[in-house]
Formats: sequence, structure tokens, C-alpha cells
Amino acid sequence: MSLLETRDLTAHYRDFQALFGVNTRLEEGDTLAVIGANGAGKSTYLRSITGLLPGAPWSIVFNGEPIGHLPAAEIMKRGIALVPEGRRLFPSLTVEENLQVGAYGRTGDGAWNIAGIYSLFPRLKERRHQASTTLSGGEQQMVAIGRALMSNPRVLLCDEISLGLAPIIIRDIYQALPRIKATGTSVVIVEQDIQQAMKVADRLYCFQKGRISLAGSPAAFSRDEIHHAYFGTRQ
Amino acid sequence: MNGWLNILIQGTLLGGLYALFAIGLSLIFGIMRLVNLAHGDLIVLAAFVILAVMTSFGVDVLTALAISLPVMFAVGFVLQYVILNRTLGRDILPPLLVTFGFSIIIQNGLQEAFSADSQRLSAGAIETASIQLGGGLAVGVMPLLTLLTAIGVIFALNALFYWAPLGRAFRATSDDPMTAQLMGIDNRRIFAIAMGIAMIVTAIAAFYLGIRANFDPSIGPARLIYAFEAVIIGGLGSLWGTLIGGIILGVAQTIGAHINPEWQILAGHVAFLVILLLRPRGLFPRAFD
Repeated sequence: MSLLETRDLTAHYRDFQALFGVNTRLEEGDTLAVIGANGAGKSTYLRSITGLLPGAPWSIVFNGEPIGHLPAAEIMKRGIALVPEGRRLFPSLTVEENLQVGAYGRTGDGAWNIAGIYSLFPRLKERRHQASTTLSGGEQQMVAIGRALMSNPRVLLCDEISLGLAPIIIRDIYQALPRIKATGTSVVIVEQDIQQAMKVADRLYCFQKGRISLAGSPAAFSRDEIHHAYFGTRQ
Repeated sequence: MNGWLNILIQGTLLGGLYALFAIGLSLIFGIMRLVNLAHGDLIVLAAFVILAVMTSFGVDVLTALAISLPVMFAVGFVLQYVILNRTLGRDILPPLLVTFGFSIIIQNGLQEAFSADSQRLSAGAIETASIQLGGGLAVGVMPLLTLLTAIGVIFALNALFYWAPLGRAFRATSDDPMTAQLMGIDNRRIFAIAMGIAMIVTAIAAFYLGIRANFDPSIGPARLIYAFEAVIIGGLGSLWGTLIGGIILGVAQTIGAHINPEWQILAGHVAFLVILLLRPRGLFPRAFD
């Protein structure tokens, strides 16, 4: 049994259909990369899983139970945490409070706590009492990842964590992933940056116009195949 | 000279009452951007709840307040959870209309249940007790307690906001309700708890209102206006600002009353308008919004 599965997942924004029957599987401890161009449905996929966009119960199955219809707070309590696109830190909370609030609905029984996050991202410790808005983009991204880890989630969803960051910062942030995986957390990485995502993923899904255009092990595909799946063009 | 000092002192103490009126309103607006037009009537409702507890159980006013606090928390929680949560959204009009409707329902309901007669909460000898400050100055014990309670309530709320997980959840939800849900925060429950806490403060305000002056079912809207003015003078989102706003309002009213008793209410509104002209965002606005 997979830990997290989407079964024929569809999603709509009023009249507009954003997902047309998406099937994905995430196994315990695995890292999954979801790539695709702008508007391919990647963020909608994450909004559906996290409950921000509720749908049919059995369209999303977590740990054998239907969760597609549950509200976001309930899904978080079951152990699925999101690092949202654009980081979305709470501006009136300090760095440390942002981390603390991440454990509001669930603390889990895993290794992550404030001290653990500071050892993962030492720079945050120096800035613990600063307002989150005074941090650089990379540091804010570290807070956002730390905040999601505070609940010791079974599944960590990362939405475009490299967006708008310098390559050297992106490298720093991706260096944290092996340590996150080592605690047994399964990870879903949604990226436009294919290179980064492919390096860490056990399994790859490419989205195109609300459908999956490619699925499998990243090593199994040629550059052309991925290019085609990503852009929908033949060279 | 003593005369003016006395006015300043009495006005400041009166400001404590207005701050208590305003804190609940400020809290609700700050956390869920809900403008509660029934706030004044809820203060009056709380006063009648205290009165009803006193008369039906034959207890003193302080015991009646203690019993009324959880009752008013429950009223606020249910009101928010069952009805007001459904009105929240991008459009600010539905909550205004619904709370305006509640204002009318509460006024008429209270009139039906308690008649339009003026009522009072009697607290015994302490009502008229005062402390001599020397030089012919004296402060009433109840007005002093009112101000001290307002300060105590603000300390307690700030402690909640900055030290308790629930307070962090309030602030996070106020910042970004959507992302707050991703932290496992159930917005509807958080909003209901916030309204419950606001109603506890409202009951405390009603306790001092009822001991200080007569009340009847129709006086809610005027209390709402004082509360609004205190919140806006102080700047949205700052409870200490709300206290200062209440005090400015109280002092202005006391000065007005000193010049001519008919000018009491007017002087408060004029002070409010002047500050709105000079500092449209209030004296202590939150740094960002």
C-alpha cells in the first residue's frame, strides 16, 4: 500500500478544470519530484492534497484512508505538511514564533523540534527573535521548511522552494533534504527547476495541462523525453 | 488649577470604562476583520445577564459576574461558530448586515424580556466609596477599579497573544487565514474562541457599566460608538492604543461636561474627529496591515 495516493484526481476552479484525472503514488520514505511548466496543474495538485481545495473523498488516499474531502487543518493533523509557494511566513510573528506555530496542530513523535531546526539551518538561530520579514529570501525559505517540519510530518510537500533564489542558496537548501529524508519523512518536491528536482527524486511525474505526461524513475528518461513531456512539443 | 486636575483624573478613570467597551471590538476586528455592529448591544445583554443571575439566584454582583463570564463566553462562541463564521469572506457587507440585524434583535429581545425600564447593578457601599488624594481631590473606588481592570485585561490579553500557543494561532490567523490552516489551525474554531474571549471582556465592561450608571435595552448603540471612537483614536490593532483612545475620549467628555453639561457627548465626538483629521490611522497604528 502506498503512503499517499491520488486516484483519478480532478480539480476545478469554478468553470475551469485544472486537473483531469491525475494518478500518483508516494511510497513511505521516497522522494517524488513533480515538474511541469507554469499552469500545468502542479500547485493545484498540492492544494488538493493539503485540503485547500477539497474534492471527492477517495480521490486522495493517505495511509489507506480517504482524505480528499477533509479541511486543511484536519489533513495537517494527520501528518501532511506543506511548504507553500512564496513561503507565506506570518509577518507579525518572529522567526521562532513562525517555527512554533508550525507545531500548533500536531507535534508528531519525530525528531524535529526548535533545536533540531536550528541545527539543520544554523543561520536561523542568530535571527530567532527577528521579524520574519527582515530575513533574506533564502533564510525565509529555511523558516518555511522548518515551520513545516515542526509537525514531524509523514509527508513533506515542497512547492517551488527554489523560486526566486540565487543558485548558491538553492544548493544550501537542497543540502538539507538528505537529513530530512533520513528521519523517514517522505517528500514531494514540486519544481520548475528540473535539474534540482531530478537529482533528489526517486520517482518523477511531469504535469502538462492538468494531466500527467510522464511518470517513472528519473534515470529512465532521456533529455528529449522530458523536454517533450514538459513542453508538449516534439523536436 | 485643582479643578482641571480633577477633570483630568475623572476623565482618565472614565476612559477605563470606554477602553473596556472597546477592547472586545478591537480584538474581533484585529483577528477576523469583522466589524461587530452588535457590540454595544452585547454589552447591554451582558449587563442584563448579570442582573438576571443576581435576581434569580440571589447572589451579589461579583458572584453574578463570575457566573456570567462562562455564559457570555459560550454566547460568543456559539454566535461566531454557528452564524458569524458564515458571513466572513472577501465581502465586508454580510457581517455588517448580520450584526446590524443582531443589534435590533438583541434590543427588542431585551425589551420583551426585561421591559424598557432602567436597571442598575447594585454593589453596595463600594459604589460611593472614594479615596481622598488631598488638596480637595478624591477618586471613586469603582472608577479606579474600572481603569485598573482595563489595564489588567490588556496585560492578560497581551500575555495570551505573545506567550501562549493559542495567542500565536490568533496572530497567525490574523496575518494569513489560508496559511494558518496549513498549521493545523481550524479558523472557524479560532474565530469562535476569539469571540468568546471578547464576550468575557464585554461582561466585565457590563459589570462596571451597570454599577456606574443606569442601563436599559436601548443604550447599546451609543456604547458601540464610544467603543469605535476609542479603537480608531488608538489605532487599529493596538490594545494599549485602545486604552489611550478611551482615555482621550473620557477626558474630552469630562472637559465638555465641565464647560456645559450638554456638551459632554459632543466634546467626545469632536475630539475623535480632530484626531481623525490629524492622524487618520490613529495614534498607535500597527506597523503593517
